[in-house]
Parts: sequence; C-alpha cells; structure tokens
Amino acid sequence: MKCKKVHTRLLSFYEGTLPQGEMEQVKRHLDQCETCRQLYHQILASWKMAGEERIPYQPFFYTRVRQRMANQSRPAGSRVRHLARTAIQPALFFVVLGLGITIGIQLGKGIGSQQTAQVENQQNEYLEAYAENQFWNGFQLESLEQELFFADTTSLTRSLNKQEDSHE
Amino acid sequence: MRDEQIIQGIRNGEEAAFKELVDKYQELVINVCNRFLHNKDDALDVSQDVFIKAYHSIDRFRGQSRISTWLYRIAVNESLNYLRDRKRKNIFSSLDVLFSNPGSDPLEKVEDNDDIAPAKMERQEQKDLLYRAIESLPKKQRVALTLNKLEELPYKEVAEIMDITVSETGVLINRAKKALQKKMVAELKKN
Ligand SMILES: [Zn+2]
Repeated sequence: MKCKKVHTRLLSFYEGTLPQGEMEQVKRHLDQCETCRQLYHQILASWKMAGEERIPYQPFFYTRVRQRMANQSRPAGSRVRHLARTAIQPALFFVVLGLGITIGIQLGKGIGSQQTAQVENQQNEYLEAYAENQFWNGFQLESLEQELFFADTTSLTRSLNKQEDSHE
Repeated sequence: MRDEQIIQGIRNGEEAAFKELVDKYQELVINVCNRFLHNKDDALDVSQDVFIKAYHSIDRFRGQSRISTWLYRIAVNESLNYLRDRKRKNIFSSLDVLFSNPGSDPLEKVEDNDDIAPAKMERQEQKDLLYRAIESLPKKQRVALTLNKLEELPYKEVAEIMDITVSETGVLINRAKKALQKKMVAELKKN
C-alpha cells in the first residue's frame, strides 16, 4: 500500500474498522515506513486528547441560567432607546431642517434685502449640510455603539462568569 | 424525577422541574458546546442560552425523541450560530485593531508567550491540529464526526439529532474522517 492511501486509513486502522486485508496492509506499511508511523502517532495523540477533554459539573450553573433569563425578560428600556436612536432622532433632524428652511424663507420675504437673503441662503446651506451630516453620523454611530455595547456586555458577563468560576 | 415528569413540570411552570432539567443535563450540554467551541467560557455562555431556548420551546417538544437528543440538537445549533456570529464580529474587531493601532502589529503580542512550558505547548498544538482540521470540514460532516467520534454517540442517535437517516450519517462520518486525516497529514508535513 502506498503512503497516500495509508494516510486516509490511519484512524480506521486505529479503530480496527478496516477490512481484514487492509488492516494487515496498513500494519505492514507502518512497520516499514518511519514517516507514516510518525504521522500515525501524532494524529492519534491529538485525536485521543480531544476526546478526553471534559468540563465537570458546574455548581452555580443553574443560578446563572436563571439570572440570564431574568435579564432577558426586561429589555424594554433598551428597546425604547434603540427606537429613539433609529427613528426619532433622524425624524427630529428633518423637522428641524424643515423649520429652518420655512423660517428662513419667511424671514427672506419679510426683509427683502439681497444681502440678508444671501446670508440666509448660506445659513440654509450650512443647516442642510449640518443636518445631513448629523443624520448619517447618527446611523453610523448607532451601529458602532451597538457593536461596542454588545462587546462590552459579553465581555462583562464573561468576566463575571470567570470570577464566579474562581470562587467555585 | 423522570424525564416525562420534568417536561410536564416545566410546562406547568414548576421551577423545580426546570432546575432538575438543568442539573441533570448541564454536563451533556456544556460538553457538546465545548466540542464545537473549544473554550470553556464560551461553552458555559452558550449552554445557558441552550437551556433558556429549551425552556421557551418546551411546548414544541413532542416526546417522540429523548430529552437528550432534543438538547443535543439545540446545543449544536446554538454553538454553530455562535461560531458564525463570532466570525462576523472578528472581522469587525480586526478592522478595529488595524485602524486604531496603525503602528503596532497585532501578531507581536502573541509571540512573546515564551514562558509557557514546551510540553504544554506541544499538547495545545496537538489539540489545535485536530480542531483546525475539524473546523475546516463542511458543517454537516463536522457535526456528524464530532457527535460520533468525540461525543461517542451511536450512528442512530447522531442521525436523530441531525434529522437525517442512519446511512447518511455513515456516509458523512466516513467522508469527514478521510478529509480530516488528509488535512492533518498535510499540516504535519508542513512542519
Ligand atoms: Zn509511508
């Protein structure tokens, strides 16, 4: 049997599940081929180690499950905040923008001077640019904040769990 | 408490029944999660969600399969979801490192871990070799192999958990084993 063929039969050889003839062929090859023999031992070593790994009974596990359930059942506050950030904030910007423009137009009509109209146009442009920026930033900030917030809470629960572990 | 009593108890809103479920099956759930996540803290974290999910979907448990099979299924799904989300988050955090610390190489920090005993490193390397190989498998092969070879569940139970036939399970496991060995041999030869 060639090395390459042996390589795909190492685990089955270890388990003894190959057909009788192949079992013997692999054994003969491993007796003769140093490279394959080493590979066999290395693969077997990692295989056994992964199987052995076991986490024992965790005494405070139920308490933690209960705690998390309690935390999950009152996310109302954060939902309102989320809504505020995603919907109400941008909406407010449009309202402010609209108001600015209307007031600007009314003022322009009232005074009628070219100079003030110019200034007021500039103001509108500025206001528009500002609102637009704020609007987009609002969205970008929002997802960034969410990422950060999420990362924070998970690392926080992890470190809390770790602390608990060390008390156990 | 027998399993049917536990289920009925939880349906009736009995706290003691849910506690019994968690206490009886926490080792099973935590360990199967750890088989996929290879990290104790993550495994404990995801296991909590597994039980919360089980609690909320208790009415969907029909009692045709065993509780353990049902919990295994939830645990596998939650673990795979967790891995998927972590992969996504890692993309963000690696971008974060790149942009916030343009002068420093994130790999530098990893390399000055010399004080770990060489024997221990070797053990970890051997484990990592297998984990990397398993993670490179297609999802179904990975699940079937992990449940059968590492959790030592018979084909029949793996099939039930994965909702496939026993012969499909056999095919998946054989393919997984072959691919796994190829991958490990290739990695070992590289060194
Ligand atoms: Zn050989």
